[in-house]
Amino acid sequence: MDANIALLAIIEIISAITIGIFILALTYKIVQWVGRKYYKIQDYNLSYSIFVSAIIISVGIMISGIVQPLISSFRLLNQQADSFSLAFEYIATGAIYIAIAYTSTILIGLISTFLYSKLTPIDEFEEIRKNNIGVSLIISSILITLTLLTKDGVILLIEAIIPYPELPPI
Amino acid sequence: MWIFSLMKALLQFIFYVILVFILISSVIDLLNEEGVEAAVCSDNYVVINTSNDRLHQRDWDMVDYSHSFCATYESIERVSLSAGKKRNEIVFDLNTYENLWGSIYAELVRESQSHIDFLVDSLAGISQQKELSRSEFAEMIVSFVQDIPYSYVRVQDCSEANNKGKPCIGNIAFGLLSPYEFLHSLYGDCDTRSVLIYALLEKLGYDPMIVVSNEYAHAMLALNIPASGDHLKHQGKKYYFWETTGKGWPIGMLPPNSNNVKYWKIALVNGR
Repeated sequence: MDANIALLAIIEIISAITIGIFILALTYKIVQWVGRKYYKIQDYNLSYSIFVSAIIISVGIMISGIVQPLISSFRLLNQQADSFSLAFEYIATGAIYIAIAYTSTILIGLISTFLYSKLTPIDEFEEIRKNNIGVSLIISSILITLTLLTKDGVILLIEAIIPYPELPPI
Repeated sequence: MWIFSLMKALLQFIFYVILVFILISSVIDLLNEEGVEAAVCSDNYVVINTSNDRLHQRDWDMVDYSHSFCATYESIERVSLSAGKKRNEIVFDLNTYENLWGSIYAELVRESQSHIDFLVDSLAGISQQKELSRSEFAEMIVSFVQDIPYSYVRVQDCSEANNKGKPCIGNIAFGLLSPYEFLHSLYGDCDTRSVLIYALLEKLGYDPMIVVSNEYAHAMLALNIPASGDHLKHQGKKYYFWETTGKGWPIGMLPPNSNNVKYWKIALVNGR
């Protein structure tokens, strides 16, 4: 067994689980809080649950894209410095990548729902509040599709800040 | 009441971050358990007689600086000139871009077989002495070549091209040097480096590959060893990309300006 690869795999698993649990739990809490406070959503509202699921899937899709850049950063950071400063640098780098991906997802979510609500005569959030499942499914599909479309761009943005070694002008 | 809930959430968050921090730093400790030994020779070469034979002293580090190496070898001007003459006589396949380069690389690797034994033995000796694993040995060989500063190897005269401040050697057939010429002159562009590493690794029983990209105008090594990252699949095996033109590039990491795997084609694998 190659010890280096095994340890890299452990770091990848730790990172993925940590980021996954933290981000998804945070997203769920925020969306539930917003729903209850601003839209008076009830617990039994299936339409809102579908919408929340779509948001969580979107966040998951976007966040899944940062694991590989994060591991690339770690492999490039893994030099000379002591383990505590490397771990600190790794967590700080991860926080920046998560912030970029998370902000992008929120912006995409807001823009997509805002544009859709402007294009249609009905008030989507009002319909979701009234438990209109049809509207919820359409908004959820739009949200997930837009996330899939923009994911590569966001990852490219994150890749741009990875401290790659220098290359000669080939 | 809400302040207590907030404080509880905050404490939970801090505990969670500290736990992850300790976990990651422990894993890094395991990765870096071996100390770095300082190199004992300087990076240069000297001309050792009037026929321009050279004594090379090379010191270099592993990609992650976990090991430092030092090697000394002699290169003979006459052998280098002979290798250059054979390179000029190569007949190539004009079928496709990758086949064209593949046929040239294959011929260069074949021709170099008898000339690189000294380096193979020397590197294998260092590997044994340092008790390197198979993956580490491959990394030692690649970092040996990565450490050599990049130079342009051009078909036309160097004065006719923009060399962007890099050293240049001009009027070279196919715009690449044979492995022995590279070891002698230390002038090497992307494919010159890839061919040398391919020849060394193949001789040591590895399963290397040379990949080329017309879109990126670039060549690179790929290697079938246990690794992670960017790779290309061939006959059910994973060949991980390895950038050779700059220091510090680990296996399985394509540079961001050439990271579309679809644009990379196999030029040489299994000697064909």
